[in-house]
Amino acid sequence: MKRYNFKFLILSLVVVLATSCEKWIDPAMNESPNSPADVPMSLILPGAEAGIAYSAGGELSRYSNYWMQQISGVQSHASGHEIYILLESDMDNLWKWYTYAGQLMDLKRIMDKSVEEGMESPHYSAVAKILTAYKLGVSTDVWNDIPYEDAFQGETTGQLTAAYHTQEKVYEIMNTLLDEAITELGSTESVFSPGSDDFIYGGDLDMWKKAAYALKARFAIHLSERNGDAAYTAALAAIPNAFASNADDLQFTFGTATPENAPLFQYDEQRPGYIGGLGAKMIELLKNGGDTDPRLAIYAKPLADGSFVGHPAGDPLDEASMVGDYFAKADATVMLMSYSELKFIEAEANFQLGNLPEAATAYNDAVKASLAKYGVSNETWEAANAAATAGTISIDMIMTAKYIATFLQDETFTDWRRYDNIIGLSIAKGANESEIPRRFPYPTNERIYNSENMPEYGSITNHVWWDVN
Amino acid sequence: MKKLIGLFVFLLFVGTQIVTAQSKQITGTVTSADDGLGMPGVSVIVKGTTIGASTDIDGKYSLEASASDVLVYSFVGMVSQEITVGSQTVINVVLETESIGMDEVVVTALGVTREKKSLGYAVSEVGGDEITRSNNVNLVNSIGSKVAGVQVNSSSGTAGGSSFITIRGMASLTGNNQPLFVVDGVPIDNSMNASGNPDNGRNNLTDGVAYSNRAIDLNPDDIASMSVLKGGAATALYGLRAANGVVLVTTKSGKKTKGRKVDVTFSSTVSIDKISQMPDMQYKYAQGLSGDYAGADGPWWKMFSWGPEVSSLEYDGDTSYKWDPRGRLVPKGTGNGMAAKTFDKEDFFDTGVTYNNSVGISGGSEFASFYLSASYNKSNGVVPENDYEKKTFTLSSDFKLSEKLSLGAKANYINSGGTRIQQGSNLSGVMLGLMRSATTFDNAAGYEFEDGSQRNYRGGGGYDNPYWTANNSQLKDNVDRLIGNINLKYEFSKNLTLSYRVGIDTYTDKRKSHFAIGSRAVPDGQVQEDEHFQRDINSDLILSYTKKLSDKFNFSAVAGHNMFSSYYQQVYVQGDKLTIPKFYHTSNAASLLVRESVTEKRTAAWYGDLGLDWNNMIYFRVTGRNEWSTSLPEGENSFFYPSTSLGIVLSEISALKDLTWLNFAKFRTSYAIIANDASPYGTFTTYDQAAYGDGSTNGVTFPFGGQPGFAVGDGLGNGELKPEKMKSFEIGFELSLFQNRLSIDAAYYNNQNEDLILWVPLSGTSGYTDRLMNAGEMENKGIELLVSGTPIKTSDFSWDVMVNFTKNKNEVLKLADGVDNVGLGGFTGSNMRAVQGKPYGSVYGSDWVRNDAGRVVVDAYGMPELSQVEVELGSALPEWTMGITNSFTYKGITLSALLDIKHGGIMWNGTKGVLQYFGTHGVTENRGEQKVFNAVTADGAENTTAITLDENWYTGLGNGWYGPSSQFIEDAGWTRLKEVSLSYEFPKSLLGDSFVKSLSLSFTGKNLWLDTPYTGVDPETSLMGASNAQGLDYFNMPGTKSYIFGLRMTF
Repeated sequence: MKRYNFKFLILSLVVVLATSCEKWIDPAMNESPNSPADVPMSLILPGAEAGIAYSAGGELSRYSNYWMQQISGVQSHASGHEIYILLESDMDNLWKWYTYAGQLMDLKRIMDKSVEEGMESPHYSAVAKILTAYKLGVSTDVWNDIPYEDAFQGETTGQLTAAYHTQEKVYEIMNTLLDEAITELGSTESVFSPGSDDFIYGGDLDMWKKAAYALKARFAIHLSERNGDAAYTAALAAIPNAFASNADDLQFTFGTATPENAPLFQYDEQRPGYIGGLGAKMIELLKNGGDTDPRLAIYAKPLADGSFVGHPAGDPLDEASMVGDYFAKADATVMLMSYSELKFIEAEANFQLGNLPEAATAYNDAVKASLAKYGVSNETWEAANAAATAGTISIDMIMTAKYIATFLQDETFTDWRRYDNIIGLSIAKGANESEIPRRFPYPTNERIYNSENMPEYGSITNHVWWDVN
Repeated sequence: MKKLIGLFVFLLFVGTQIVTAQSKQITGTVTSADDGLGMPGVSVIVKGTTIGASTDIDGKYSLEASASDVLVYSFVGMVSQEITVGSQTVINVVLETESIGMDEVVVTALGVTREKKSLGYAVSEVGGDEITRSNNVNLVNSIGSKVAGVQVNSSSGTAGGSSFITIRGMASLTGNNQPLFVVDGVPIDNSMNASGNPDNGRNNLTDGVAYSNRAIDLNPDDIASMSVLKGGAATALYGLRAANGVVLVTTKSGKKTKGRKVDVTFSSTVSIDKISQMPDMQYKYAQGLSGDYAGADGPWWKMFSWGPEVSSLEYDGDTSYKWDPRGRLVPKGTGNGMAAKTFDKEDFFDTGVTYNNSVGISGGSEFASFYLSASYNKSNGVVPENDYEKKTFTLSSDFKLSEKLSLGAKANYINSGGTRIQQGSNLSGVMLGLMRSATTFDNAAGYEFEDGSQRNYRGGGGYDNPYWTANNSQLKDNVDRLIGNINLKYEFSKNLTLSYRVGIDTYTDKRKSHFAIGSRAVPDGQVQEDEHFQRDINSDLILSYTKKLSDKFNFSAVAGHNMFSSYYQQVYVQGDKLTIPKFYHTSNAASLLVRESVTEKRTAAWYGDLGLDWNNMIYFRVTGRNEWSTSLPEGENSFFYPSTSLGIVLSEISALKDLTWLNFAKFRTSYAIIANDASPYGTFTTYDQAAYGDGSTNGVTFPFGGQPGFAVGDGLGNGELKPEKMKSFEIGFELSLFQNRLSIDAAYYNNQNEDLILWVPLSGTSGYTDRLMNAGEMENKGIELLVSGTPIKTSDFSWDVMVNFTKNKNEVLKLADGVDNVGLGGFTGSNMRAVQGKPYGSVYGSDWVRNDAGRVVVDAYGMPELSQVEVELGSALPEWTMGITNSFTYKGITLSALLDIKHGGIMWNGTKGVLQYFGTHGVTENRGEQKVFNAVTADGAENTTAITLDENWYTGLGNGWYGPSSQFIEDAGWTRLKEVSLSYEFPKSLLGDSFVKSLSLSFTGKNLWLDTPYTGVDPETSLMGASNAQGLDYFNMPGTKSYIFGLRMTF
C-alpha cells in the first residue's frame, strides 16, 4: 500500500510541476516593463530637438569656438582643445549619441512613422526633414564625407555599417530634404501635426517653412568657393521666403530646472574653470577701437575693476572676462540659425554679385538685428557702425561683423574657413598643429567599427570639399 | 558405556557445530569516542552480504548474524570497525573520528554531504572557526588567501565597503563574474547596487560612495562551514548562475540528542583600525603659483601648491582674516614671527573602532533541535563620520515529526546600514578634496562659516574641504533583509528520501543622500531618495536514492526540480536646487527628477545526478540539468548541460594499500558544460526615456518643460540570444603522506567560455551604438596547489604550515566580428577593456610617442610627445597569488600568521597623476630637478638632453590630464602579513565545574605589514567596487590595518 501511494504521489508531483512549468516560464516576462513597446511621433520629436540643441550649444560648437578664439580653454582637457589637440576619442559621443544613433535615428523613425498606413503625417515628416537637413549640415561641415542614405539599418536589414557620401552628395541630399519638406508643409491633410511637443516653433508650419528657406540660403552660400556666383544667386533666391525678423529665429530655449539646464551653464557648473573667459580677439573686436559695441556687456562679464579682458589663445592661466549671463545662464537660448545670419548672407551674396547698395542695406539690417536680439539697440552706435553705404561696404566689414554676431555658434567656423581667416586670427601659443585646423577627426568608433567605409582624412588641418582655399 | 560417552562427545561436537552455524540475535550500542553519546545512523553490515541494520537515535542496533560473521560498523567521518561476532550476543562499539585529511566530509552541491575522497572535482573548505577568527564584517573577506583559485579584492578601507570575489578568473565579459552564494541550500543575492541617477550608468561607480555587496549581511558567527565549489562539475547542479563557482555556506544548527541539552556561545570583539599607507606628499612649498604665495582669498587660478617655500613665510596674526585663524601668510620678517605651518594629510583620518558582539544558543532534545543567534556589529571607519551598523537575528529549528518525516525552518533577519562618504572622481569626494588641498591650508580649522558658505583652500570654489564632505555630503542607507527557508524531508526507506526546500531572500535598501548647498559637486544642493527592493524565491524538490548493487558496487541517484524567481525594483528621486539650508527633504527642492526600473526573471529546471562507486576506490559521477529561462527568446529558451567526474583512490589499490608512508592518494578528473544566463530584456530593442549628457556634463533629461520624451534605444536587442556556455575541464591529485604529516592537493583546470554575451559596439551609423550578441570567447587556464603539513608534532606542541598557490591565465580569445575591444569602465585616458588576445581587464590609456622599436622619441629639447592613440598599458590581473599560513599550537595557545603574496598585475595611479598637477605629491618636492628621458632622438641617437622637472613640466606633460596615463601605471603586486593571530584556549581544568564550558581569548592583527612597489594607497582597492573594472585608483580611500581583541565563551 505504501509503495503504491508513493508512486502516485511522485507521479502527481511530476505532472503538477511539468504543467506549471509552462506558465512559470512566461515569455511575456521578458518584455521590458521599463520601456513602451511603441511611442507616438509627438514624444520622439521633443527629444530630438533637445538633443540637437544641447549638442549645438555644447560639444559641437565648443571645440570650434576655442579654435575661433571666441572663448578660451584654460584647464584640463579644455586647454588641450585650445591648442588644437582634438582626439578621435573626443568625437565618439558627438558622432554616436548626438548624430547617428541619436537624433538622426530618431528623426528617421519619425519619417518612417509619418508614412505608415493610417498615420500619414506630412507635417511631422517635414519638420523631421528640416531638422535632419540642419543636422547633416553642421555634421558635414566639420566631418566632410559622412553617411546618410545607407545608414540606420541596424534593426531593419541588420546592416551594421554604412557607406559614406561625398560632401557634394550630402549637400544635394540636404537640399532635396528641404525641398520635400517645403512641399509637405503645404499639405492640407496630416493625421498628426506637431504642437506643444515642438519646442522650437510650437507647431507653427509657416515658421518651419521660413526656417527651411533660411537653411537653403545658408547651404547655398556655403558652396561659394565651389559654385561662385551660382551660390550667391541661389542664396538670394531663398532669402525672400525665409526669416523676416528676429521672431522667426530657429532657436531652442533651455530651462531653469536642473534637468533642463543649458549646455554652457552646465559646463561652467560641472567643469568650473575649464573655460577661462572670452578670447582676446573677441574682446578686441567688441571694444571696437574705443567705440564700444553695446554687445560687449552682454557677451562678457566685467572684471572686479569693471574692465573687460580677453585671454589670448594658448596663454597660461590669467584673469579674463567670463561669458555673459545671456549665454551662460541656466535657461539660455541656443541659436541654431538666426535672422541676423540670414541678413549677413544677403549682404555677402549681394556684395559678391556686385549689388553694393543691397549689400550695404542688408549689412546694416544684420547688425541692428543682432543688437536688437540682445535688447541693446543703440541709435548712436548704430549710426556710426551700422550705416554702411555702397561706397563703404566691404567683405571685410561683413565677415567681421558676422564673426561678432555668430558668437558661440558653429557657423563661425564655416565662415572663417570660407574666407580663409579674413579676421586675422593668429595661431595659438604652443599649438599642437602647424596651422588652425579645418575639420574634426573621425571618431574612434568609425575607425574601428566602420573601417571599410570610413575614408582616410589625413589630419585635422585638411580642408573639407567646399573649403577650396 | 564407552559407546554412550563417544556418542555424547560426538553429539557435543556436532551440537557445537550446529550452534555455530545458526544465526542469533546480536544487539549493542554504538557510541562516539568524542562525547560517549550514542550515534544514530551508523551502518552495521554483515561483511560479504547485504544484511545490515542502522543504529537508532540512541545508537542501538539489532540484527541477525552467526558466530563466524564479521560485522562492519561504519559512519561517514569515523574510522570503520570490523568485529567478528564469535560468541558474543551484545557487541558495543566505540567509533573514533577519522583524522582530518583523509575521510573528511564536505558539503557539495544541493547541500549533499559527501566524503571528500569520493569527489572527482575540487572543493575547498573554510571552517567556521577560521571564519570567526578572521573577524571580518564582510564574509567575502574571510575567503581570500585561504583557498587556492580564489581572488578577493576588497574595495576600500571604508566601513561597510564591498569586496569582489572571483574563482578561477573571470568567466563573463560583461556579466556577473562573482560566484553564487548559497546559504543552507538557498541561493542568496550578493549584488552591489549603486546609487545615483540611473541615466549616468557606470559613472555612478567612478564617483559616489563605497557600496556594500549584500553578502555582508550574513553574520560570520552563524557559519558552521563554508565550501568553495570551483570546477564546472562541482557547480553544474546549480545551473545558470554557478558558472563562476559557488560559495556554499552552512549555518549552525542544533543537534538532536537524548535528554535535553542547551549550549550557549558568546563572543565579543573590539577592533582598532588605522589607515595603512598613503601617497608620499610634499610639505616644503606653500599654496600659490609660480613661486608666488596665494591664500584662499587669492585669485582662483593661483591656488595650487606651487608657491614659495614654507620656511620663507610667517603669519601676520590678523584675526579678522576668515580663512585662517592664525592670520594671513606673509613673507618672513613682515609678520608676527610665527612660522608658517603645514598640515599633514594623514591627520584627517581617525582611529576606527569596531565592536562586534554575538550570542548563539543551540540545543536539542530527542525530537527537535534549534539554533538561535543575535549579533550586533558597529563599525566606525577611519574617515570621520563613516560608520556601519549591522544587527542580525537568526532562528533555525528542526523537528522530527515522525520516524520518517522531518521539518526544518529557518529565518534570518538583518538590519544593516551606515553613513557613507563621497569618494572617487567627485568634486565633493573626500580624498579628492583632501589630497589636492594646498600644504599650508588647515582644513581642520573649520569647514563652514556662519553664513553657511564653505571654507576651503580654494576660497569656497574648487573642491570640497574633506571635513565639509564628511559632515555635509553623506549617504545613509538602511537595509532590511529576510532570508528564510522551510524544508521537509520524508524518508521512504533508508535508501529513498524525498525532500523539498523553499527559500526566500528579500530586502529593501533605502538610501538617502544629500549634498549641502555650496558643495562643489552640486553647488545648489541636492537630495536623493533611492530605494532598491529585491525578492528572490527558490524552490527545490529532490528525490535521492542509494542502492548497494553488490558487495563492492554502490549506486546513488538524485533527481530534482528547481523553480526560481527574481524581482528587482528601483525607484530613484533626485531633488535639485535646495533653498532652506540643511533641510534635506524633497519638499525643499526646486526641481525633481524621478526614475523607476523593474527587472524580473524566472527560471525552472530538471536535474539529475547519478553516481557509481566501486570498492571504495573508483568513484564515477554524471550529472545533467535542463533549464528554462524567461530571459531568452521564446522557443529557444531551454538548454541542457551535462557533467561527468571520476575519482580514483589509488591508495586503496592492494599494492599501495600497505605502504606506511603513503596514507592517501587520489587522482581526479572532471568535465562539465555549464551555461550562464542572459540578463533580462535583451531580446527586444526598446524606446528609452530621452536624456542627453556628454562626457563633461550631466545633460538634460525628460520630462522637459512639462513634456515627456522618448528616443529610439541605443542598444539593439537580439531576438536570437543564447545562454553563455562554459566548457570546464579539470584534472588533479591529492596525496597524504607520512601519517598525514604532509598533504598535497594539486589541480589543473581549463575553462573555455563561449557564446559570451556582450554589448558589441557598433558604428553609430547603424542607428545604434551597441548590439547584444553571443560573440565572445574567453579562456581561463590555471593551476591550484595546496600543500599542507605538520613539520613538528609532539604531544603538546605542533607546527602546521599551509601554502596555497594559484596561477590563472586569462585570455580573451574573441569578441565579435570586427570588434577587438569592449570597454568595461573608467575614464577617457585610462579605462579598462576586454581586448582580443589579451587578458580580461586590460588597462588602456595614452602613452608617449614611440618609435618602431618601442623607444620613446624626444625632440631637440629632450621633451617627449603625447601620442594621440590609446594603447594597452598592462593587465590588472595578477600572474600568481600565494597564501602561506604558519600556525603554532602549544597546549591551549595558538599563534598563526598568514602571509598573502600577489605577483603581477598593474594599477593605474590616477591619484598621483592629478597630485603632480597640483604640486602636492611628494615627487614634486624636488622642483627643478634635471632629468634625461630614457629615449632616443628623432634620428635614433640616444637622448642626452635633460629637461627640468619644474612647475611647467608638472602642469604640462607631467600629469595625468595633459600627459600620457602610461606615466602612472605601477606594479600593484604585494607581500603582506594579512593576518596574525594569537589565541589562548583556557584549559578545562581551569574552568572546572563552573558553568563555563570553554573560554578563549584572542588577538588578531590584520594587514600589519605591507610591502609593495605601489606608491599610492594600499593596492588592494577598487574604485568601482565589486564590478568588473578593477585596477583603477583615482582618489580611492586608503586601506586599513587592524588590531582586534576577542573573547569567546561557551556555557
